Amino acid sequence: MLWSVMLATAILTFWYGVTKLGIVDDLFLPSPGQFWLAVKKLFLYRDFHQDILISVFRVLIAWTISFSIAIPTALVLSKSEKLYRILSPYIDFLRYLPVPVLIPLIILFMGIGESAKISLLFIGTVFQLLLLVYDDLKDIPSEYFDISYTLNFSKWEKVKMELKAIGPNLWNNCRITMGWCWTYLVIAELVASQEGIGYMVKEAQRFSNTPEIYVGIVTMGLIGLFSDLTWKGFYPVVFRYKRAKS
Amino acid sequence: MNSAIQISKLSKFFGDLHVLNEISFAVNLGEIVSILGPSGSGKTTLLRCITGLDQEYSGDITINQIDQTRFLTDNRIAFVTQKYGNFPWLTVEENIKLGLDKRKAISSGYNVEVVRLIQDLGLSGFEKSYPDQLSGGMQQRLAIGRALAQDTEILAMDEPFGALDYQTRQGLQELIKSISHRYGKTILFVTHDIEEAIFISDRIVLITKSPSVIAKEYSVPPQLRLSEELETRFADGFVGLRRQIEKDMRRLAHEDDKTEKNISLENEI
Repeated sequence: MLWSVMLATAILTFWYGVTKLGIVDDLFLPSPGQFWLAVKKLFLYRDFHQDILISVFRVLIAWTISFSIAIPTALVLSKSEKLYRILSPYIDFLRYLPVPVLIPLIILFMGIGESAKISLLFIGTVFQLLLLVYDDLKDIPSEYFDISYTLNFSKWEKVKMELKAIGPNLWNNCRITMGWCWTYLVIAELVASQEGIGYMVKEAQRFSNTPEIYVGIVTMGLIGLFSDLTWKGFYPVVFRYKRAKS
Repeated sequence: MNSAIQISKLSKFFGDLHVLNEISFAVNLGEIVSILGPSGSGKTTLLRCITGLDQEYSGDITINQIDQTRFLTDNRIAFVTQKYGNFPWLTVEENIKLGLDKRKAISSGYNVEVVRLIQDLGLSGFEKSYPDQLSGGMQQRLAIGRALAQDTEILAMDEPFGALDYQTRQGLQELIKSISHRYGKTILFVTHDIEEAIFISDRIVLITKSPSVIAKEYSVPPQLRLSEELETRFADGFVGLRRQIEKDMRRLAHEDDKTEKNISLENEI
């Protein structure tokens, strides 16, 4: 913690120094004062919090839909080798498609409304999450299935056992894929949007308003950091047995 | 005597590989029978077929005089594995309760039973611990406790002490014996350790390799069966039986080698 504070102080001092001494033009790097003014302007007069909220909403909705579809699909695929063999080339094909390449088609099919952005984020994360969960399900020790059988578990109890067995990995995969969702969000909002953090950054770029671009970037970084810390923070609470491991 | 398990002409193939060849034997009620054999002899496969974990075999298995398939529609055989025998996300108490919860009818005094089992297995004071916090021996005690909590008449154990050190293994072998005497369970025990098999069992079934057949059955003398003392291992009867089994296993291994050489020679020709 102390090192983090010291590093932050060093970065701020360096930033202040290079802008104060005119080493870097403020077109490329605004001073901390200009940055702070942009923050105040955006939050007080431009409803920037609305942009943040809509971006967070898009990520949460798209990621939740991805999660809700990826988990049951992975469970079904893990039970059928044949089905996996049939579907895996298609999943890989879609997984390797760069999300931006789909933008024209998504706009064509869905317009530029919320559904288009959420679809883009959904496509960007669902196939990745599906395969990560599938791999974790295939790695469950066979002994757990043997015990489940000899304990006469119902189908639902077996599914619960599988989800608990992959729980820690699933948690980490959720954290990672939510991060990916944020990276796709910028792409979605830069191209077809009327609100959101990405849209604000794009608008700032149009008018060469560098301080606001920096505010957008820092905001995204902070939200990402907060999201990551939340996932990590709850890990030992949700998986107490991992914390207890001697 | 009533047989708890009756196996008749059990054969098993993995593709072209003939693993078990017409295995037949019976396990009587309350008896501890060890399936002994070298690595790769199909001991685990045989146990998996008996417990229903592998149902692709030919031959007949009856459990409590009921055809295995019919028996397994409503019942199960409690099973202890060599590793991953407990669910790591459940505490000691919760793992034991899992066994109790699966009983058709839970008798009154549910919590009393959990406490009694934990005490019997020497896990008192660790009720709220997670399996990963326990030593290897304690983890296996817990797995045995969960299996006992299921209260099935038959317990199947697949080399449960294979990954443990010699001293811990001896302690757990004593535990198995005392459990059998106290709870009156029929136990089917897979091992490759001759000493373990003699100490624990009432009877030993020796199987050979590729494909497995029953080479010999040994009855452990009554004075050795009843004793839970470690010193039993030095008794004349114990040492004599161990030598006999070792001799038989060496002879069988030699015959296996000769057969394998003949097969490879035939293939070369």
